[in-house]
Amino acid sequence: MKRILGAIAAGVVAFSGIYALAASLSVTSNTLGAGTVAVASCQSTAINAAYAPLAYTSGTGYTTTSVTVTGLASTCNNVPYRITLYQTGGGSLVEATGTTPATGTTFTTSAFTAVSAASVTGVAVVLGG
Amino acid sequence: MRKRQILVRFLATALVVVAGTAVVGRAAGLGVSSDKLSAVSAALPICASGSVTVANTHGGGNISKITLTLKSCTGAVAGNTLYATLDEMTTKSIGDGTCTLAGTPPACAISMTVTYSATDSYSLEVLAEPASTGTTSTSANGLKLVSEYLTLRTCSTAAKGPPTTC
Repeated sequence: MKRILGAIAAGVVAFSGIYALAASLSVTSNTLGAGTVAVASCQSTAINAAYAPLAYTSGTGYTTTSVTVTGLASTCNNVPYRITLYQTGGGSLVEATGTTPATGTTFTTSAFTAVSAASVTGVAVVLGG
Repeated sequence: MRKRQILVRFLATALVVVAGTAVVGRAAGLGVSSDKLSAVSAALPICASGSVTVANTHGGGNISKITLTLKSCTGAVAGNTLYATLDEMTTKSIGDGTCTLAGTPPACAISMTVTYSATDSYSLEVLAEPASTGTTSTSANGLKLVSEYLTLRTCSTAAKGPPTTC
């Protein structure tokens, strides 16, 4: 019985010492959180990009100064857009930015610097953000 | 002795569960949301080589009219407006005009009066508006973009006068 009591006493003393040491170590932490969420598109049906108006410029040929987007879903109304016409190799020829209309399925970008139609090889559209 | 071991294990397990619950509770407190965003790009289609037949009508030393006939290009159909410009390689644009496609196969003529040399080289640029078809591209999160035709064909000849096919 004495042995048991002695062992308990020794354990308490030892644990108290460790606890005291631990308590004397001040540890702080900045807040940290992590989470993920999928970035959704504002619509899954197709939008259509057309180029107008076409104008003839001597020495340059036919040029376009705006892009008309049709097929816009209501879920893509009133969101920022960026439309880029690019050339061979992917370099940007011209960009138009703005906000899609609050209602309706069609919008035309503000007029940008005329670009040669023959130089345009692709169009890139960003909606939302 | 056996009961004590079980009790110790139970308490240890309970401690881990409580600690884990606290961590989960902290993680659940982090709300993450996102605005919608999509980016997609599509190449502008062009007609295959030889899809436009070009007939040049001569008047004296000039070309008075060019007739464009679409043979196989899906980028333009009857009712569309065609734009064409003829460039002489050194003096650049020497004529341009528009016409409306009609008939089967769709064809139309653009009148222009240009002085040309049968030994010079020329290029012809043919555009359509509006075009009813195009290439479709889809972003990783599902935004589809259809890019219509703009320039149907750009073609040139080397020192043989204006092209007869494009």
